[in-house]
Amino acid sequence: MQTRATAVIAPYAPGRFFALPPVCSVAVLDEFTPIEVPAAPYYCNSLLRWQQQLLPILDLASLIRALPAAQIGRRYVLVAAYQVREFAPIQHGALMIADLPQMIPVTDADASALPNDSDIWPEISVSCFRHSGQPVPILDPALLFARPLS
Amino acid sequence: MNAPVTSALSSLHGHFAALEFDGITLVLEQAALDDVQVLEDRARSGGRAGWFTLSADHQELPLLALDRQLRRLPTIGADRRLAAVLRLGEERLGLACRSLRMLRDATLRLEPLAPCMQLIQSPVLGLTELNDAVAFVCDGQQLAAIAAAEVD
Repeated sequence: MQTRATAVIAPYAPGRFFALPPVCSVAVLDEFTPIEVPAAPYYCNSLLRWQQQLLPILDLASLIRALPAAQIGRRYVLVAAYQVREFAPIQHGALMIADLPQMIPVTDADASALPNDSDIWPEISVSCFRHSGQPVPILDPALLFARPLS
Repeated sequence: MNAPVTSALSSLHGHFAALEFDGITLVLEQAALDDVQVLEDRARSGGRAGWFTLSADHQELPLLALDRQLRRLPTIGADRRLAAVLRLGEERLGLACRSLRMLRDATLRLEPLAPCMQLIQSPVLGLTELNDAVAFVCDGQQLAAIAAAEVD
């Protein structure tokens, strides 16, 4: 019997998607003023003021390409929730996205290997599935936001 | 692989200096500040690109201007009228600023940077709020070091 689950998918660049468990996808903002942080990594160098918190805004497209990416076309941020361990406080981070997220059903039969365009995927992903012919990594936000990335 | 960590708020109490330039505010312990000089027209080209000199107390001090990403600028903007003189080991180094405020007996709420934003060589220790705007609490020595670092 196949396990059926729901995933939230969002494009980090046009036509390129990541997924989050629905419980980790908290909010989407289309109007925000990033606060630039000096001497921060090129893929995560601004903050989002959200609900009395200052959240890191991570640009997955830059991280994957290992280059500062043009931010044209990425007009939303998705606020993701995470815990670094069970019973730890819930923390948040923001991911730049190109379009609104969608919820889709996923089954065991959709399991796939991670994309091979970057060494970073195994460090930040817990699994991967295929959607519309493309691999979609399922990210663990704690692995993205709660430690320095190599 | 580094383990994820939980961020925690803390507070700092003491005397601080708030340096403002290029739209950002950096907060240093006042002890990191050796002197403050008014620039007026006293900054002169120092021979190397991005390096200037300032005569102060019968000494020639190296003087630098940084942008909001702490990169050295080739020129010193007319709005930078003050130099914060920092210590870098045994040397002194001037940093051109638009404004400089002393925060005496201040308590600052320090919020750590998310681990994904931390770089080993960054002088930024954390975030605080000054007058409803985000300011960056920095290590003075590390700030002077990154300003003086050769980037070529």
